[in-house]
Amino acid sequence: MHDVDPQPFARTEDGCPDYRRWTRRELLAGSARTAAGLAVVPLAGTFLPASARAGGGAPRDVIVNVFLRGGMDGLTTCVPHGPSVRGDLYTLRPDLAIAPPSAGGPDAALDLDGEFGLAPAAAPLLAPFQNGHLCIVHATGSTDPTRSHFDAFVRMELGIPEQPLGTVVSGWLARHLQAVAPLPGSSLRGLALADLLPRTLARAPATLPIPDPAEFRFPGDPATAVARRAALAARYAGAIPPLGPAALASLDTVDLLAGIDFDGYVPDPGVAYPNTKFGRELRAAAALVKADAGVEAIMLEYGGWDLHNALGPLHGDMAALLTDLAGGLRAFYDDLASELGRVVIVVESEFGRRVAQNGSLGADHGHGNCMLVLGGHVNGGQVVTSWPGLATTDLDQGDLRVTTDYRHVLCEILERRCGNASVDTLFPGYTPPPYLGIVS
Amino acid sequence: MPSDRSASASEGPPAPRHALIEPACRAAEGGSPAAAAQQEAPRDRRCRERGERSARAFNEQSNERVPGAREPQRAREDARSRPIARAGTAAGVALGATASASAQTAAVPRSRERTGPPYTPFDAERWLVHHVTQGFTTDELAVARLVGYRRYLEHQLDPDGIDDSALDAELAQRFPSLAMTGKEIFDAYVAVGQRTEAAAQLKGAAIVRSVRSKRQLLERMCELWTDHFSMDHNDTYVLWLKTVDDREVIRRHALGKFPDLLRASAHSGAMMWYLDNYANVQGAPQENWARELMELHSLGVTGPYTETDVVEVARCFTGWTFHLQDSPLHGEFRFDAAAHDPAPKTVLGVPITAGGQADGEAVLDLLAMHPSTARFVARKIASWLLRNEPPEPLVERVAQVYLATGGDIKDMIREVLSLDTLMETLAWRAPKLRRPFHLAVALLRAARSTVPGTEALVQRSSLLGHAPFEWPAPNGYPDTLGAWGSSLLPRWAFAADYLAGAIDGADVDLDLAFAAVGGVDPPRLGAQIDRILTGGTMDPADVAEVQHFVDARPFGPDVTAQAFALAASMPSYQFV
Repeated sequence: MHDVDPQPFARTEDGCPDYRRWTRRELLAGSARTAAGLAVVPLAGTFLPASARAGGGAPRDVIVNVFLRGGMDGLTTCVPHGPSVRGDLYTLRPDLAIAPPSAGGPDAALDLDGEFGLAPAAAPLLAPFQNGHLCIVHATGSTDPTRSHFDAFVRMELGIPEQPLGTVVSGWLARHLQAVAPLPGSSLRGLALADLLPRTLARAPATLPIPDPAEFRFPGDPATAVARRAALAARYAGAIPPLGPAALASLDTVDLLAGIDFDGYVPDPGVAYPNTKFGRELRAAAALVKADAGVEAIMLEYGGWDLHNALGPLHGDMAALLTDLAGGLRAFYDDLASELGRVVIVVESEFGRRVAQNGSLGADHGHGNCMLVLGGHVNGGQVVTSWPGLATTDLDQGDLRVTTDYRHVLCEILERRCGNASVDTLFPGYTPPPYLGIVS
Repeated sequence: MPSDRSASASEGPPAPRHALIEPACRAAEGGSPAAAAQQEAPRDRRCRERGERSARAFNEQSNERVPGAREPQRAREDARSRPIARAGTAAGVALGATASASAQTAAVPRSRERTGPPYTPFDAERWLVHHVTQGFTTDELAVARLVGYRRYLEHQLDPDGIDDSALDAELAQRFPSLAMTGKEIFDAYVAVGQRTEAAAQLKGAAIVRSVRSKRQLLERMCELWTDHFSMDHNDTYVLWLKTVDDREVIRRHALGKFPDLLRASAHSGAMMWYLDNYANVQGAPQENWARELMELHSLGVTGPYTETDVVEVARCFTGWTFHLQDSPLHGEFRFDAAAHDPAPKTVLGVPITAGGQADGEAVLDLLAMHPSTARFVARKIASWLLRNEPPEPLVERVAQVYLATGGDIKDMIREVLSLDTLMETLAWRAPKLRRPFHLAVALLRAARSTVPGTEALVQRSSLLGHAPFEWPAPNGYPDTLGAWGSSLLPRWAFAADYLAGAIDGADVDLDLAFAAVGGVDPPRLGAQIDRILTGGTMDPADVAEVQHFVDARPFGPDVTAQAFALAASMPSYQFV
């Protein structure tokens, strides 16, 4: 069970600040956390098997879900440039399609596997891909034919592409958390770095929206804080969900986060997070992951991808978005090098964009898209797809077809990496076919 | 605009801050009606008599509209009209004037008034105050109690009849950009390096208006329509053109007719920019706004439109753009005929063949009076004012009112908030979660803030996740328990920091707040706070917990403030 000898770090109160902080956290959590938990010290260059954490059971990776709102253009992010996959891409997008790698120069796609390539702005993701930690799933998405953002959000996040609305109110990630036991001593299981709890986490146990973990403090006069906390705890214990559970979780989480120094968090050497909202959120997520505080699901929201007008794949809006996205993910990947074995990052969007460009050099709402899966146990270095083709005759109402259900990807990740033994019931009415080998 | 009659009130000494209701408050809380009548000045007596005559006339007219109304109802109406007259001064006069004015303009028969025993199962007036204001206050409750449910609703439905001129003057002085044209804002702020100033002023005004305006239902409806036609301040032109949109689209039509609101939005430069319609040109139809016009603004996502309709609607609106900053008409609608696609289109099965700007106007006419639009808007108003998930029969009824009245928002509100509807839907048993902005504003109102400064409050609203005009998508801030119900700490933090006086520009006047309940009384502080905050609707266990907090420590003004904040953090206060 112990793959790493905990001895190198003193077990007394004289230990290093990291250790002392964890000790205090344990006391606050009141847990009977095993020595395995104490052994979770990031040692550079070593993957600590997640089994150590869960006491010898199935892996329990932290899942980091990044939802790109607005319809991220998968045909720009992962360019199908190869002759057997490009179809009519270059005729339908004369001004938007990124040139194949053979064209050379800074505006050409960065080749991934001979058929697909990365947009130049996503260059930071090339190394993780080549290291075998990044897998791109293409022509994936929801079978729901809607081209409405808001409809698509609801159905995709609740995981009911084909069910009538109103039947399901919990998000798929919430149901996953309900289906797996909490980690020992965990008081906060899920966290969204956002003001509002995303639907993906609706009804999730012990889950909160916290836009800035460094500022999550119980307010008011410290002299009366204990009394006021007790009063709120007493009254919210019986309050209807989600208020009651969220209030109680908030009180516990105040203590939990107090033990993690977000402001003073120093990333690993050489890691530079972009100085953007996304970059700052990933930095906080990294601190949380490294603190190994029992949080199993972290969700980030990233808006602004709805580029009807002037998509700008190389020098405009899309390029700027991809630069931030890829730069942030790369920093996170580098920062968590020693923890990567227990983290899986899933980047998704509600739909892709139309193959043909529109008259404003933009692209309208589409269908099929790509998903990014990044982590220590991801079978990376491959683009997983059942490519439907981009010839005009292959398209679904002018859009890339969906040939891989996004639920298929999520089920594999949640079962193989996050300890969910009942993915058959995770998505109502859906049983995943044999897995695609995205993670091991 | 204030009515002629209310101008008579300015002849006397300067009116106190709550001139409209102070006499009402005095009568309600304090001395006997007889004593008040004895002290009546001759001018007040003439006002009272005039008010009595107007009230009687209104009752006559309204009863005529209800065939078969029985005597007990008329007697009850008369009984309710008497307190207005006794309180005298501007209150009765303004309300009497308001009532008769609205009676004359009303054309649609309303729900049949319930006849029979009074509504005792719950406190209808108190419920109404909670639902047509941006935050309950004891003052508003006093007015509602005096004039009764229906008259209070009519009062709030007539913002032009409510004298808010003092606040208007203050807003004009504090936020000069509010009245400016697009070009004026551009020249005064954007061109000189203050790009965000107009937006800061608009956000500040949104807070001040919600807290201080007497036209509370108007503010409530402005908030609804702002979310319905939502725009993100952070999108270039929206940063300064939203001020124009807020004034000319939202505020102008918030209590008017929905088709006018829809048309005004379609001619809003800010909207043409925000949803990319300025780039919608012949040969290159731009779908963004065309889609959201149908999905979010009119028919709703289930409205029967196809993807083809989206393209066809886009083609109808080719050439709909706005004047850029070099024009004196910057921000105003402009039809660019050269960019228009004049070829025939078909929208929802209807041929649109005229070509030119008329095509877009025809689409707006089609959408404005479509049954799906009626239902979508009916549902929105019912959800906003009454309860989440309003029953389908009510939505259908309100949709019928829409279609019968050309989309009259006031008439729809009358149907949604009629006493019959309240009884039928048991709405008071399905309280809604307060959105964070509502919580903040309600607290500022309860604690009698005059909001001398707004910068810190805007920043705090952002920490609550609910800053005005900052929702990043065109569908507006959500209004559901699921969306907001997990975010408690920001609410607690706002309440604690505000009541501790730690938010710059957000003053607290608990002395004034407690004056309405007889002054601070520590043994009853919990119950007093409940009365101030809600008129007494909080869960008794929450109130007891607050009282326990007070009893457990030596008393002092900071204890009052902290108890107030604690009460506002309690679960039952999160609902209204």
